[in-house]
Amino acid sequence: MRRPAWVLLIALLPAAACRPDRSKVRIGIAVEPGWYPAVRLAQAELQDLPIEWIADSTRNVQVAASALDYAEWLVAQRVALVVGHSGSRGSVAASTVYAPHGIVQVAPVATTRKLTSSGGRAFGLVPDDSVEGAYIVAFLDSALHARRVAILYHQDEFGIGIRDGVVGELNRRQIAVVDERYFTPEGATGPSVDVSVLLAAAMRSAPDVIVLGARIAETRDVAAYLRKHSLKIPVVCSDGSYVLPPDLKNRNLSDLEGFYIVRFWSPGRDSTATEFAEKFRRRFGYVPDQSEAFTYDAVKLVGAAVRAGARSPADFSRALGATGLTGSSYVGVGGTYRFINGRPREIRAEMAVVRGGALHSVSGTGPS
Amino acid sequence: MKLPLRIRFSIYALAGAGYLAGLIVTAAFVGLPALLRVDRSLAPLQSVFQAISARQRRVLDAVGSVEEILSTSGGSSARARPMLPLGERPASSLLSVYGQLLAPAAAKKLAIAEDELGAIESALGDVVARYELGDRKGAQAKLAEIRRAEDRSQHLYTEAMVLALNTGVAARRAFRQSMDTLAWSAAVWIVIGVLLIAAIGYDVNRHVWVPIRTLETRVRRTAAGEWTGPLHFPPGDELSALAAQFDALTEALRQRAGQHAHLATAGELLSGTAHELNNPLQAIRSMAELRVAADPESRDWTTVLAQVERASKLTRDLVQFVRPAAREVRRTSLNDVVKSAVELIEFQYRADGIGLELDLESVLPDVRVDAHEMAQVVVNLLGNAHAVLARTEGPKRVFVRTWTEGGLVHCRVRDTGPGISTEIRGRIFSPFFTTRQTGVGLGLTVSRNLVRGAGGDLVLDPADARGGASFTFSLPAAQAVAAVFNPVMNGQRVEASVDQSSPFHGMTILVVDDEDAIRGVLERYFRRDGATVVVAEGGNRAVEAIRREAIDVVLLDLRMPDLDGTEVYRIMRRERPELASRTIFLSGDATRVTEELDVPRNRVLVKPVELGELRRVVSDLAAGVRGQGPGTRDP
Repeated sequence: MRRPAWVLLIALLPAAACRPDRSKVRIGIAVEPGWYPAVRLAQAELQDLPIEWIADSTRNVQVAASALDYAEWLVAQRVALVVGHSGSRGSVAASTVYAPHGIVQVAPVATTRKLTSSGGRAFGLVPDDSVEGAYIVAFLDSALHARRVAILYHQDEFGIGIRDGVVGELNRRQIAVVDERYFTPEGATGPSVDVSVLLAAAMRSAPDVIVLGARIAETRDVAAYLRKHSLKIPVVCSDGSYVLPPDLKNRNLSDLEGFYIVRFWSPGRDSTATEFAEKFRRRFGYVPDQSEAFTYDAVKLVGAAVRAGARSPADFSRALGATGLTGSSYVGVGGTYRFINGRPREIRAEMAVVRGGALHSVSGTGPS
Repeated sequence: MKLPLRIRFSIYALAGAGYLAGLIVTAAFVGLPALLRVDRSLAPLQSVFQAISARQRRVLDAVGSVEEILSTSGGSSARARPMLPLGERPASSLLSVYGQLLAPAAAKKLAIAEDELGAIESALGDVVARYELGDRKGAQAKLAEIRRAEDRSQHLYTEAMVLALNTGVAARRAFRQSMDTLAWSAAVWIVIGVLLIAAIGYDVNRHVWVPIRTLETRVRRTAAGEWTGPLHFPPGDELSALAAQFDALTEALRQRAGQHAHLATAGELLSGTAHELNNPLQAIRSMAELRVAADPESRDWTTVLAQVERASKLTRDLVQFVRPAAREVRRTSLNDVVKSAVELIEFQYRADGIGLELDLESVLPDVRVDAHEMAQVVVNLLGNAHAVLARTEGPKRVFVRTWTEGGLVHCRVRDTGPGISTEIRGRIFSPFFTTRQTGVGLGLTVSRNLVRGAGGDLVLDPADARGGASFTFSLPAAQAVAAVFNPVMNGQRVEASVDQSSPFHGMTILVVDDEDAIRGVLERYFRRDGATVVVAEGGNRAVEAIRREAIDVVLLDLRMPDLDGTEVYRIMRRERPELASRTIFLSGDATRVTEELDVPRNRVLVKPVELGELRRVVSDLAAGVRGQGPGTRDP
């Protein structure tokens, strides 16, 4: 070979070294910082796969404007699939960025039906809010015999979704909605709302059950008010109240004693869940909640698709859409996944009650 | 590539049609969808703005309602929330519905604004709750907080709308994309159009324009008499065929021009010869006439006079045929035309042993023609027959027949030659078609044109069992009128020549001729009738006599060695115009006088003129002189 060819080859070597590895598929992670232990746990089990993980755990992925920012960043990274976002509001906002680029979205715990009803390439690992609302009302009716229900919820996709699911089922069962109030959307910087004031006003309608479409902070505010005024009234919370901060102190639910909370996963649900919870606890020092469980499943589900040969957004969309249908089902720590219209048919809700600072099942798995 | 013009222009038309069709298809499949895409994108954008406005209005109305509630005197524990125009539930997120249609910056701004608005709506619930709980002060404070937030949210919404418009909403992207598509399409079509026009222009220039220009230039140069050789266009299209025809035509014209020049020279020679012959003939004739007048019983002089008459007619007809006068249409007997033509050519027939038989209908209506043109037609037909029979074995006869039928006067010339083959019968009248080595191929064409110009037609008769070629020309018969007195045809000549009156007594006649014999005869003839005769042997002497003598009538020869008769006449017109009008020309070439000097035909006598005719014309002028009185005769 003549000298110019050698020179050219040597000159191109650094460029080749800096070039992204085209053989690896890029997967974006867009979950709460507290959920990253679950991500890492799953990633550790997928090291043999040609996956390049794209993530920035310091960024907010739930508040709408921030979620949009982060989604654009991931699009710029040319990811084929994103695990996220954390909640309904962030997931729906980000989906407006991913959908035009054909990027597949796997949301671990987002319940809003808006995410998966548009026919795009989004998958949710838990049932949507219509299913959850119907399950809550079924519990109100059959277990608590409620006839006058007040509902408080967040003024965002998550809260409004729970509200619509619950009110729709209440109307169907002819159970009165005596009052409904809503809180500020999560992350909004506008005027604040005092949850206790809303609750006090709602209590004037003499409800016999309060339904909360809230997150853990507002749930705790309600509990504090009731405790302060020694009010004894059943409170039934959606799964949003079971999205717990990672620190051990805040994971203690003793202030919610007697509250009913819907959940889609529990450590003692079955041996797989128990095994995962124990593994998680051993590594990170605390028992995971459903957010971590479904985040873990989401990452592992994506890994399974990669192992099956998926590399492009279209591959992932086909592989996940076929899961449990034309393809084999995926069995995770949250259950067996078989997607219909982007939602799993096998994941069932469960009503739990807080006793002694921890959640205990009060019924079997409900309808999904 | 050489293609026929019709195919070439069809290709141009197809190319143009294809271009237009492509343009239409592009507009239909690119432009229209692009515009529809813009329309589809603009429609949701309008929905976004409407939804934002509606939501803002709803919140503002709710704030107003809350203010109204709080302004009422006395607190109320009644539920106030249903009084708010906020509806059963909060409005759905606009971001989830329209987020994909907005540019990222606008979407983020919309998300923040929606959160703000959601917070205000939620806070309104807080205010109402406080009011319901009787905490009016707390409600007022919260309302003030809402007011501040309301301004901020309104500002955020406005920013979102502006961003949606300015920083790339989907409509703008679609519009830009559409414009890009259209611009590219337009550019491509412009380039295609320019290339197409250039290609067609190049092709037209090369295969149509340049050949036409070349042909036009060549026609112009040929018309100017410049012969530059054949065009030699490559064969393949109509212009090449036209050029080939032009080359053939030019070659034929060139040959024709050569023959014309030859004929013109021959004509000039013939004209000169006739003139030279006319002078001795004039002397012989005049002498013979005087002898016959003196001795009417002299058969010898009568014979001389008859032969002179025959020779005179022959020279006159030859000159007229070679140098025809201006076209003169008049009633003529076709029989006379045939006879005059036969006289011109019969000596050739005799020389080659070809029989010429005339079968002329005795009572034939006149035709209105130029006799010379029709004579040319008959001579052409007879000449063709002669040419064929001269090189043919077997019987050599030509039959000329005239007859009338169906209001037409017909003349047929038929020969006993081999006839005209079927293959060439269709082309026999085509210009430059000839079967002879030396022929030009214009004889029949010209003949037919002459006959058609006279309102008739010349046709090749169908072949029949008798064989030979037969041509017939037919002319419409003229309306029957009384026969015009023709002194030549009706023997007026004799009567005029025996007129013995003396009308010239006291008159002075100037005889100008360079021939002594003619001068002498005319001098004696007019002196005998009492006239004073002044003679001049040339033009100069004539002018002197005109200036010196009181001349009444001038007999003026045309061709003279010193001063030409035309010059003498011009001098007379200038100096003695009244005498110019009494001048009689004696010449063998009457055409020249009438054409050059504009002299009436009745004052031009063609040599050899009979003395009776001359006497009659001079008598007419003499009568005019007497009527004018003596003053007119002074020089």
